Amino acid sequence: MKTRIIMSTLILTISFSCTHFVLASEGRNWDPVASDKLIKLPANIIEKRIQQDFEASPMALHIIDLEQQMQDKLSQLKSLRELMTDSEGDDLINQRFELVQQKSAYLDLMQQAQNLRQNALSKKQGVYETVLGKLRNKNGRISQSDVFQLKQKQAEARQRMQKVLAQVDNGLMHSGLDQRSPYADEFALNLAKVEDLKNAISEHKANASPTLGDVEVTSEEYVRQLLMQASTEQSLLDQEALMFSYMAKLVALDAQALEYEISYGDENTELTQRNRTKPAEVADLFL
Amino acid sequence: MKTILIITTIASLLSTPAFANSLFSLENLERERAALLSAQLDSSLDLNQRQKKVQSIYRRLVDIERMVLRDDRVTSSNSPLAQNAFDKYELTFLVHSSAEKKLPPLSHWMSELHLTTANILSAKPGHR
Repeated sequence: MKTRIIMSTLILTISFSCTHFVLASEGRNWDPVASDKLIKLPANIIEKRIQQDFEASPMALHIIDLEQQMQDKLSQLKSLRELMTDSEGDDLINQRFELVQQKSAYLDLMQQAQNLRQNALSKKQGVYETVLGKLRNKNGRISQSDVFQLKQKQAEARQRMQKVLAQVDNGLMHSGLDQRSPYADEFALNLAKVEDLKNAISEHKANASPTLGDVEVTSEEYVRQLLMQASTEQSLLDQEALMFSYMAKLVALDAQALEYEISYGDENTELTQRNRTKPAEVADLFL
Repeated sequence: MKTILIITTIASLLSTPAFANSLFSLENLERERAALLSAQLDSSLDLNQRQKKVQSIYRRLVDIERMVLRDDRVTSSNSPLAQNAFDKYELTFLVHSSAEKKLPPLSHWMSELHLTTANILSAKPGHR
């Protein structure tokens, strides 16, 4: 009777956990924030910073702990299976019962880890979306600002001036002003050095644009790619969740089969019918 | 900690000094251009004097115009003076824009202000 009650409770628990994933994340949270400091980092460093932050969080530590527990549970399951090959009778029933219990406990751990991963991923997506929004805002604000417009005008004016530099210098020569001014001399001297310094800056690895494959991309593109990766991970996690639900269903079916077996015997057990006296067999006695 | 200190020091070196007048070069340009036009229109000077004076101002203007166009502080200030200067390239950068049109600076300035001989001759003196 006691076994039946335990079995029924077990089946109910497993069936319930097939459809409901309960997140026990009290005190194991990760709350990343897309701060202004984060936005200022190069896009590839943003990714690393977020990952680093996650790895140091109580949530990530709990996932590692769950993984360890799952490994332990797996080795228990394996040894139990080996033990079952040599057992029979009541021992076998007890071991099968324990196997179902262990499988159920393993799935619970798996679900917890899965839920934490889903949660972490959705938070990561949230951060990336905020970063992307802030990057777009920043670019939009800069391109619409008065200073930006003025700088554009200055750049255009500079280009325009560049075209007539030689002409103006020739004009000075024709006017008898063939000696260059100290400003022009010094500027020309510094210009080559400035170009060298600019080249050194553009080639510096700390100033390199983020790359995807071998192609240089903007920060915005890089973050968009990170969002794409996050949705790929999301889709794979969804698929894994489906696998867990099927595994849980199988354990529930195992438990149900075991319960039926304990209560009604296995499927090879034939129904025994009590002997009953048939009238035809005794009819002769009355003749 | 050391790294933060170094980065802060470098950042302070990179930033523009707060005391610098961001419109200094543009104000110089405005003064020199005004001086050039004054010298061109100064009737008290004879031809030789005017040519000498104009040449020396012209020479300075060439440099100052280039300085203004290369000076990022001018545009960072976003002042009306800077806005106006870049809105009216033809008048602000008189030496370089006149070279584009292959005109002497004074003729270019007058044509930009639509001061033609016919207009001047048809003008009547009076109070505004």
